[in-house]
Amino acid sequence: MPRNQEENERIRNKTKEKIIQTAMELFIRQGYHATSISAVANEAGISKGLLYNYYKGKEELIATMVNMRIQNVAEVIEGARTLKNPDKQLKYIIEHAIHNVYKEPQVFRFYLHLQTQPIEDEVLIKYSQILIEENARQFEIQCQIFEELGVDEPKKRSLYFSSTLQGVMLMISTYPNQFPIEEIKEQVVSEFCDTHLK
Amino acid sequence: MDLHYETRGKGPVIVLLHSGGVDMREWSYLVPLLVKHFKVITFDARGVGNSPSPTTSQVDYVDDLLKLLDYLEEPQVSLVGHSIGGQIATEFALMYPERVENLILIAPSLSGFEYSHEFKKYLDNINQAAPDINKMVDLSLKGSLYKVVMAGEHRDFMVEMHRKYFERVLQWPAFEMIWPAPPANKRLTNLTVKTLLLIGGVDFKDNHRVLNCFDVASDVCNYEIINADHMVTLTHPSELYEQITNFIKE
Repeated sequence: MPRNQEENERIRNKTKEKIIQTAMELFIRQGYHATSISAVANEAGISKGLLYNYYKGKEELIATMVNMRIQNVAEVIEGARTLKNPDKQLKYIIEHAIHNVYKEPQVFRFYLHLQTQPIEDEVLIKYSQILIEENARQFEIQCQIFEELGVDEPKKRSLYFSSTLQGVMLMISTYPNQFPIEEIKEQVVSEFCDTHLK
Repeated sequence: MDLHYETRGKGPVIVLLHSGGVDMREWSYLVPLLVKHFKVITFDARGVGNSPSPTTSQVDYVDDLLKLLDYLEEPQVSLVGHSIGGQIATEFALMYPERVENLILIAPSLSGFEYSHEFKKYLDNINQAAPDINKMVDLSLKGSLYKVVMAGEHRDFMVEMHRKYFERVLQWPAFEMIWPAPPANKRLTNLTVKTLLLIGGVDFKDNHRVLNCFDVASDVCNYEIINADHMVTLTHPSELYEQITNFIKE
């Protein structure tokens, strides 16, 4: 059986993926602090020793998740910025943000929850702050889009846009089965994109 | 030299290089036959069996073999390499021909050889199952190249070795495998060492195709062990013994 480096990488990545996915499920279900490394290993069907082979401990799991989250959020904005018109860029952000929450409402809730940790939770507050800072960075890029759109007080408009979108996302994650996604999406698009086309 | 090895018997020296998916125990049936005439050295490749996992970012199996032979103060040996062990033995014989008296390859893999889509797909399915070892072992041993061994008395031994192997693979750190360049399939015209190619008749067809690549080498014999699959070492040790000893005595 010939084996090569790519295959080993593949096996490693698959294993890491499985561990993170399992840890995320447990964190969502029972919370970060109530979840032990043994429980993650057990649920992932691997030994604790093997898990430690890939991650130093529980905190590295949450750190990895936060990094992945930051990447995913950044990808949406970067994807939007590849489009030519600012209104198209906003539409892209709306569609992708809403789609991502709709696809995995529990994941959105998980990160939202992480962002609102009590200040004295010394472990999680670090990651809470990382997420908040990253959101602020994305917000700056979003403000540029509004500037390019040529609206009055672009920063204020951008803030209103974020507030609206965050509200919609919170509603979807809270009422995933009842929220009229398409209708609301259309409203948001027409409010922020269409009116300024003229 | 941190690899796990064993030396048995007296006489001309033979070094056995095991296949992927198993460890040096695959030689358990061949070694007792060979020790009648030879000094036999078996070892576990880095990261397999009782040898340590890689601790550096690069692994060079050819250099590992060189270090083993230097450590054991063996200036010239016969190499018997199975599968990836055959790939390592081939590279070694190309790089240090003066250190190799006979090269015996059992269903060798070969760097630079383009494996079929079917075979890649088979491997990919196994890798996709990680880290579920049961599933990986199961998918792997369902491969046609293990059909004979899995139907016979060595089935449990094979499963056990395979499981151990995957347990080790999952523990490996990220590392780069270093192979000489250009790939061996482009350099086989330079292979001057006396070579014997052995293969099980019902081994995977890619492994048969690999053997054709050796046609360009100057001194090559072929022998097919009918009704054997990739694990000919477990199922047909006497035939292997006979072929190897005849070839070396020639």
